[in-house]
Amino acid sequence: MTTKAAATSNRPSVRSPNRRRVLGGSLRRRIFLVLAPGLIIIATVVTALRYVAAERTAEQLFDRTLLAVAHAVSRDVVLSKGDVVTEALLKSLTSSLGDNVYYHVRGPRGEFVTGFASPPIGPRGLSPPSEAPLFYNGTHYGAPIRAVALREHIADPLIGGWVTVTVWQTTRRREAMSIQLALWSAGQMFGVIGAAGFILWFGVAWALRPLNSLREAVEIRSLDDLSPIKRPAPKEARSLVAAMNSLFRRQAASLAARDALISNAAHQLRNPIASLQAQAEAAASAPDEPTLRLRVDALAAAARRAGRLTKQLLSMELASTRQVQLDDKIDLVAVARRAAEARAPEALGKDIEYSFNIEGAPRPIAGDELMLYEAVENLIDNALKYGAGAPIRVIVAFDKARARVVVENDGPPVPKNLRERIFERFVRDAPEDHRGCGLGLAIVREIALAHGGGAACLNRTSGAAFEISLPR
Amino acid sequence: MRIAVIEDNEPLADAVANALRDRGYAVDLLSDGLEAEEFLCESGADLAIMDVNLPGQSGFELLRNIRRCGATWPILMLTARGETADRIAGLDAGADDYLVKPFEMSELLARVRALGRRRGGQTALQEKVGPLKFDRAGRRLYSPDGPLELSRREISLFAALSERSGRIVSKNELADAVYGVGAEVEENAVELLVSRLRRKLRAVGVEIRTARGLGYLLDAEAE
Repeated sequence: MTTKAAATSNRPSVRSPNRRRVLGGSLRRRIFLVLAPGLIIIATVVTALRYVAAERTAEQLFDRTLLAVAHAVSRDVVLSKGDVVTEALLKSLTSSLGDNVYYHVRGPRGEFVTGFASPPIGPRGLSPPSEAPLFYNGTHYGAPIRAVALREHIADPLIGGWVTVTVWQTTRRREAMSIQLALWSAGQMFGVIGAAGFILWFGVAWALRPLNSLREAVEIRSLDDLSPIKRPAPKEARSLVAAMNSLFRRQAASLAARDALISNAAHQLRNPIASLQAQAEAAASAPDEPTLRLRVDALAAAARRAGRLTKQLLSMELASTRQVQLDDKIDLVAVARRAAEARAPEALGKDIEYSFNIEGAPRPIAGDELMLYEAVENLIDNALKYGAGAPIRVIVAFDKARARVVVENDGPPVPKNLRERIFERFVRDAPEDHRGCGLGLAIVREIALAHGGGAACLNRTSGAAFEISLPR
Repeated sequence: MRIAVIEDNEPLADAVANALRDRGYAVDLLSDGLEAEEFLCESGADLAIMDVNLPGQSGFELLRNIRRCGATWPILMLTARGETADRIAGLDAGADDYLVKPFEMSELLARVRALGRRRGGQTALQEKVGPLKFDRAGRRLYSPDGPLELSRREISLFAALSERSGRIVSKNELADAVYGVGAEVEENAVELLVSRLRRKLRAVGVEIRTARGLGYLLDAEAE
């Protein structure tokens, strides 16, 4: 069944719309969905940080210039004796700074000396408290500005004393510059992300290519091809491939066994059916009644053999396909006793000494009653067929580890080289005799294995003994 | 004795019918579950042998239905191999015995004899047990040379064994049959009784065989 599903899976099934496409459908999509948001978040944070940094840099740069201008203005004022700063200086300042520059100079007693009449008012009033330059933000006629206020001592007879110079500048250009810087950096980041995404999208596809090759390897398989997949698999998929190969191997083994069973079964059934036909025809041409009775008896015996064989084939089928129910605790002694009782009349009728014994303390075991009955009956059947009329003992034994059913007889021992092979299907001690069909012990083993136990031909110095052992 | 055989496998049904007729039973052959119900509820039978898988209705339904219309006579179910659950269902539904296919004709005949004996009225007849004749009601056993000298307990023992002829009877079952159900009996009391009866029967060609650990079997076809 599994083979069929694996080998005939349709090509487009992976993309079928009723799958959960987002997460279940594609590994590539999964990887992409995990990585892309992360990248975008990182890029956004980096861009924001760069914007802040750019703004700070620009501020420092402009502040330094503003301070230089303030110093220049104060010198100029001294040189021109309180006159207006030369137009040339102002023009050159404006063109180098980009934004308009304004200044205001105030004398030691607070009197206006030169410059624009109304300077922006700083956080500490019109005069900074110390000699250190004071930078501040403000507005001037509605426009945002950056200002510096500076106190300088001028040794001049006219305006001698502490002079306050305030220089300010609109910050439009500066703002524009930081925004520009931030935009560039954002552009770079998203360019890098785009490139990474592109590489990721195609790189993942490339990385996953070995999986596609595996899929093809499975797809092109015919139904009977159960050889292992030999294509190289990436490390991550190796265990999957190993599991599949192991499944293929087991499937192949089971199919081979089944094929062998069917072909053997057909072969085995041919014999009894041929003899049925021959004996029926012989009966039809019997010259007198006693002969007829003899031939019909032979016919009945042949039919019995054919019946036994089909029954065994069914048991085999049952043993190998039935899901053994191990949940139930069953009474192994009762099961073995029923099987022993069922075959007792036949044994006693042939004057075979026949006994049933219990060893150890019986306890319930987990098992399938029907299957275990079948197994025990098969062992007894075996002893009846091949035991040459020697005593048969059925023993149910319990010890600490296991429960066992042993069927032993004092008949001919099983040759050493056959003790294991005899459990294979259609292997018999004497292939030329037609008493058995070679399935009984195979069934026994199959059932024992299904119970997690085992079946074995015991090593005895005389006679033959077979054992089913079941775990606790 | 009139036996109804309800089986849709025609060759098998014919073979069973022939085997029964050869032994002097009257046989009604039916192959359909519904027809069989109608026939059995109307005419009855002394014993019915029915398959589980029947056209019309299953053997279990047939069984329940004919019990409902008052049939008290014994019913023997035939089941396919391996249907343990079916066996239990069959016996619960009121079957008296079951036989698993494929079966030996001798096994079927033995069951029919045993079930026939359970039916009252039939027991007045003398039963043939190998070379012996057993008068179950009169509790006497005859060899070709005349009545056998048996104790009351030996007769009870023989009755128990012959009722299940062809099958193993456990010591407990024998103790119940001879001494009464639940009687406190030593196991070797049964063994002693069996060996005494065995000695007497061996002289007339009937054997009681022992399967140690299981019980005893009356083998009337010995020799």
